[in-house]
Amino acid sequence: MMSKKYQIAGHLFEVMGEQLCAAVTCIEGFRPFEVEEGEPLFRFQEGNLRDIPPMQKVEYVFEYEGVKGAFGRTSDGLRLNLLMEADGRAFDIWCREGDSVVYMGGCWLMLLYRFAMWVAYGLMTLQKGTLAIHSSCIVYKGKATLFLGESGTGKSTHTRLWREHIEGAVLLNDDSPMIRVEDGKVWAYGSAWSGKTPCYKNERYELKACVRLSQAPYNRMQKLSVLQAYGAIHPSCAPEFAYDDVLYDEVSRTIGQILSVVPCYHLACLPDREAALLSCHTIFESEP
Amino acid sequence: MEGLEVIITIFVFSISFSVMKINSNYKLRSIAGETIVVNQGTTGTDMTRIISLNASAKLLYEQLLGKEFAVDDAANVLADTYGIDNEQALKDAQKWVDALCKCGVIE
Repeated sequence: MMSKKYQIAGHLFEVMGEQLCAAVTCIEGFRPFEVEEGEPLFRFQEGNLRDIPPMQKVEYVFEYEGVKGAFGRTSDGLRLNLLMEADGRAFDIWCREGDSVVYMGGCWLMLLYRFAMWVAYGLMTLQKGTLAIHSSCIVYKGKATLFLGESGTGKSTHTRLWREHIEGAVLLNDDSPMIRVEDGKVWAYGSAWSGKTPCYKNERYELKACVRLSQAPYNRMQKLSVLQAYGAIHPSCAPEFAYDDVLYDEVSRTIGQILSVVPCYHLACLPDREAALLSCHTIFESEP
Repeated sequence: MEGLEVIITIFVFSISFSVMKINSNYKLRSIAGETIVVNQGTTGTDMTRIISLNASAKLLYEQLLGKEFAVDDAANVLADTYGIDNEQALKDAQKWVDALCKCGVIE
């Protein structure tokens, strides 16, 4: 069977099946992560559509760009169903509980399968202390900082201001860096998913800080308590996993590990140079 | 006036004897030294609440989880554990019940 291997956030996985391999090849973001060899931790495999198990309990429904999504439990595992509202074309992924193979298939539209693979990757790496945190991630002085916030808050704008006004600041990922806890250290990895900004870097940096952004008519930054920090990070993790007890246990455990090492802040800010300087100065405790 | 007093008495009576339960959808989680409960809300709405519990609130949660209880039962746990008088225990228990009822952890 045709196969390809990729390694994201240090987790090596194999993609199997002709159509699936062709689909992955079309995703620009995957290219920097392709590897020749190595023992895979898990597999994405083209599945037979007749084998898609019925959904027994829908745990989370959502919508994006005209796609309706449903995530939930089958009799023996998990399933994600994505449906184009306009014409009913669909894509599914499903896996058995505890298995290291995610089956996928349906209509090979990138809008569907790229997101499906993000969920599949998240599912397979959750137990390995890895979380996709919806954020824009800047690297400065060899350390990574995440900027989190609701859509439209200005995460990308804020990291652009860092790049424009702070020498040596470089973007690692603009949408979905992978945060991984390894031996008590917390790392931010570039990933194959970066929203609308094509920034797919196969690099990692130690995580220095997390900053939740909100818009304000002034710039003010404060450090958050553990409880506030949990509240700041929780909404930026995959909501698909938040309604499932077993999966959320892993999410919660990893957030806890991140918070015991990494400080978290809230930045109320304007979209200006001073905001970038303030956050840089606060995080690194020195003038940029 | 007499009628009003009777109504108030019945009202107080009904509160202290009404039976409650901790909603088992919520789990205690230990995060970097804090004890929290994450209330996810319903799917599709961003209504997540994160509740922090101190040591005595955590004790009550653990002791009463899975049981049907009244405020008096919570007060007894506090009185037994901390050796405080009944009146104080009842006051503290009521505070705990009110706080957790407000966020749906007790129903």
